[in-house]
Amino acid sequence: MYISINAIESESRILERDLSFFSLKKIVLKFIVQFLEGILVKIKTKIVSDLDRSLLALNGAFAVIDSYTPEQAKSELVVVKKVIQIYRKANNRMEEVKFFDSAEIESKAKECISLLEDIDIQLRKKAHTKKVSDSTSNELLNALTRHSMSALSQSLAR
Amino acid sequence: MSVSQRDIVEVVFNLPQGQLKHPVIVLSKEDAIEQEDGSFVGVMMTTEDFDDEFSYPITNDMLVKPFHAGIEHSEVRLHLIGFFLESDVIKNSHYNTQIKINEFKSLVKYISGLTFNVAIKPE
Repeated sequence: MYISINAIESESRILERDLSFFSLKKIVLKFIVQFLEGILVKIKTKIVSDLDRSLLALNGAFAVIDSYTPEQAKSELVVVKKVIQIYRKANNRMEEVKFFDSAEIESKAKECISLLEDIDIQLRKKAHTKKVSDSTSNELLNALTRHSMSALSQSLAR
Repeated sequence: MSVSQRDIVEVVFNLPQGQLKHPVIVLSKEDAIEQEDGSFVGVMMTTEDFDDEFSYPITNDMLVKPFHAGIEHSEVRLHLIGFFLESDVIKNSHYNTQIKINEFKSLVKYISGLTFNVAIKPE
């Protein structure tokens, strides 16, 4: 009886130690989680602020584009294409982490890309206003038309 | 061979000088393709380098699987949209891949904005 009580006492001490260690681990883990959450909140706030600044600048760009000459639009197109690539890459990376579970970041990031694409479309229209571009060969255009007509006819005949 | 939206396939065109193969991006959604037994609306691509508003370059990072190593340059001709039969599609073409979803959405936006002059806003 004495031995078994001793054993129980010993086991309970081990358990007590484990529990105290467990609670220490819990406190440390809680601290780490809170610390990381704090960093995450700061990152999210910074991203939202960056996106807000981008949106403001992008919305303001449309008024400027109106006054561009075709030559100015063409030179700006090169820059805009690079910026779109940067934003798309950033967007894809944020998409991988589900936009930090923030609907605000997701909608603002998508709006930024959409505005950049709108700017690109406006610049393309401006840049090619006066230019007579190299057109597709007549043979290919005729072939596409015949092809579409024939495919549509066959589909309708079914 | 069944095609899906975003697929890049090759189609044969009959020209006076003979048959010509051209890559096409499938625009129709699956329901529409199924409704017409595999027929679909597609936008044409080319390996030529055009300098106009309808030129939309396609790079490997926009694709699910990169193009065959022999394809140096590729671009969509945003205004050349046609209707194609499933039987027009060449099987086992080295173009067979798919454009990524976000890039496809952008492509449709450019087609709409530049070919139809209709702006598309984000969802």
